[in-house]
Amino acid sequence: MEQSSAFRVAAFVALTAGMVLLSFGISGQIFKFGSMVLSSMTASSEISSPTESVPAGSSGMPAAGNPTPSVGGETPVAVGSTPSVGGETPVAVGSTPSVGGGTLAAVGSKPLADGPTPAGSAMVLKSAATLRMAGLAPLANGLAALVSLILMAFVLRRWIATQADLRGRFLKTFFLYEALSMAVVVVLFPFFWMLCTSFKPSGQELIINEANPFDIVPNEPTTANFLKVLKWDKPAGAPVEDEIERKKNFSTYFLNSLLVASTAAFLVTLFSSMAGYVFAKKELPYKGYLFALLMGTMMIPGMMYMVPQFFMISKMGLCGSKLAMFLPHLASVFGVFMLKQFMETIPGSLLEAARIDGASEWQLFSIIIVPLSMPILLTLFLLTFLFHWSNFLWQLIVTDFANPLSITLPVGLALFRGQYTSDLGLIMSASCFSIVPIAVLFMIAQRYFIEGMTQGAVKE
Amino acid sequence: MQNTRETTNSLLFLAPFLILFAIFLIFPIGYSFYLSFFGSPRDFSLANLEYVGFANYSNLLGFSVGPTGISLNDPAFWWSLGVTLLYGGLSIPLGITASLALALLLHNKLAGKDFFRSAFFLPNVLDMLVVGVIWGLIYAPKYGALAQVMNFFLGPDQFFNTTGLLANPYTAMPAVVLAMVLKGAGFGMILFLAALQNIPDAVYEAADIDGATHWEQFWHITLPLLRPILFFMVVTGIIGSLNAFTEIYAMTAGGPQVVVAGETLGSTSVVGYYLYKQFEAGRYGYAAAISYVLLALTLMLTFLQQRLFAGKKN
Repeated sequence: MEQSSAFRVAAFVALTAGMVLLSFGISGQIFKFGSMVLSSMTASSEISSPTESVPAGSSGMPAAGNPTPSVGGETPVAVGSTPSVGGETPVAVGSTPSVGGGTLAAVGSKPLADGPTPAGSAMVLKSAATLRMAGLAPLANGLAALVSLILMAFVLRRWIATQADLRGRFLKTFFLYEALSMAVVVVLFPFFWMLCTSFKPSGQELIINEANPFDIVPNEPTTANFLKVLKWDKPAGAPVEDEIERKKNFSTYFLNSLLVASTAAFLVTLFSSMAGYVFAKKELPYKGYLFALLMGTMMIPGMMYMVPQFFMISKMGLCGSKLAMFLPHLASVFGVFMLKQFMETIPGSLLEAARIDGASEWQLFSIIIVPLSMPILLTLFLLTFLFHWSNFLWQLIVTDFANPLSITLPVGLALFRGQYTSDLGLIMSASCFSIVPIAVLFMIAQRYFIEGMTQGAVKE
Repeated sequence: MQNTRETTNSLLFLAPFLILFAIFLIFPIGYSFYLSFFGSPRDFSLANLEYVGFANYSNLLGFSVGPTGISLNDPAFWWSLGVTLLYGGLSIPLGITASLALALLLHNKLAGKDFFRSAFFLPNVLDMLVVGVIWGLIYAPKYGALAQVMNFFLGPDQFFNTTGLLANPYTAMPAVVLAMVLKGAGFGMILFLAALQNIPDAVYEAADIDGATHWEQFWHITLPLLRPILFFMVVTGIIGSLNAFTEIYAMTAGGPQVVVAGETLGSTSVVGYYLYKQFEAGRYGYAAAISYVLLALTLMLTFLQQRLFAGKKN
């Protein structure tokens, strides 16, 4: 690190400039996204009372529909986009939609009173949300500028406080942060783009900000895509044969996936913990050989099971049922392996003591083993849930398309994409139903996910 | 008597898992072999399977020597093996490089390390199909994100806008690989990071005293110590390539088509996708035969690797 001080200063200035650009771009997009979600949500809540009464469909509909926008508000913390250079321009472009700003205010408030008609409410929603967003735009930009300023002041202070001979190291750390932030932007960009595009009105996905292609948050947000994906935009009182067609929406798929994945995860965790207990703590003739056999099957590629398992399931007459979606994957060798590893660390003296106190075998398991293995059981539950949540190939081949009410999320998305090949907004809002809940779950329980998924590899 | 009771209890605890394991993981291995000797020449129904002997295997692997040279019975299968090799050959080294680079960046004293760790890991837990669909739309011509950004810099008359990466046979596979590397990099990163933390600082200090440069330290100390992780990543990468299906289904559906030696073939049709296509077309016995060839291939590769890496260690 034998650089001259002039070189160091130049590097510092360049890095600071990069940081300002990056932080202003990322935070600007995040705040803009936040204001967009906020304005769409407040706009939709005003008209939600007439809309909700219209389709009195399956009970889960409101529950499945509402969390999505609110959850979106939390996600952007980790998300960003590449620097937005022209900071002020997006606002100027955004605030001049087809209708003038002044008239919008009137439009925004009036039809709320009289219009439960779906088309009308979508229109209102769009303009009201757009208006609110335009109002929030200075705030968002101001916040982004504030964040950049604070960061700049912080870096400057640190730079001045750092002794000359330590400045090389300081620059290295600075560079590391910037490189890592860029990498985060690259890795998470697709998901941020998905969230943004899902709020774009139909036909406007193409229109990007001419001044700044990196400004991807729409200026005229709409929740129409979500309503359409959930089929809430259809009027009530449709004929009965349309009832199935109407239920063929993403809230149904979501509930199906939730049911399949959580049932499977519960059963797998239960069965694997019982088996893991035996392998870790109990006596059984040929236990070692049996365990070796289990480990051996882990080498077999999953693709190989597709044909025979499908034959077995259809011979059992289960095709199209929810049971078929997870039944062949209930025997989780990985789960047994993971739980056995953990349960071996539980001291045998605990079991002995309980046995002397007269505990039955089941009590030993349920009172000692299960509570002590809770973290690892939770990990296995989450991982299995995840596996079944995205177990696309198997669910695709056992789905009976004549019975659309059994379709799960990934299959539903594949089907949906076939119908609306180029309607970006719709496909993206449909994708949110799969991505956003898992992303939130990951943020809550990331430790379990990361440790669980990487554990098998480290324990070699 | 104590022993018999203990055994009974153990079996009772093991029963649910063991029954499912026997039915759905052991039995299918034999059943699949049995099915691979059947064909459905007349219709696609499951009921009308006919015994065809080794016909499936000979149709799959066989070749005939004619006047024009060797002609394969099923060139599409061999092609799909080649495509799989390409997929693995691109995605494994790239994936290792990306995750190692991230791990090295993160292997410093940094505040907010956990945030970066989680952010890089996040795409790993998301549904493969959805990620594939999103990337497919990013690459899409005209309305995709890439096309729009490129329009800004290069004008509307360029490759990304007119064709798109996924519609060109030469760029389709690299584009899929790029998406999958970005999705999976966080996983390897965690593994590398854990291994890096286990390397004692004293090793580097000793190397510093001996005058080794940073590059030499990386090449002669870090990399050899990371070998178990590298091995693991190569093994899982190979299994992943042989199992690859969803990403191809979501992004390219096996296309775009290319004509090689008079045969129309899918330029991203990996072997998993080819297997699915055979299955979808109702050629169940044939699909079972492909599964068996795949199984043999996986076991052979794993065995080879074990030998290779075990040999290097000594």
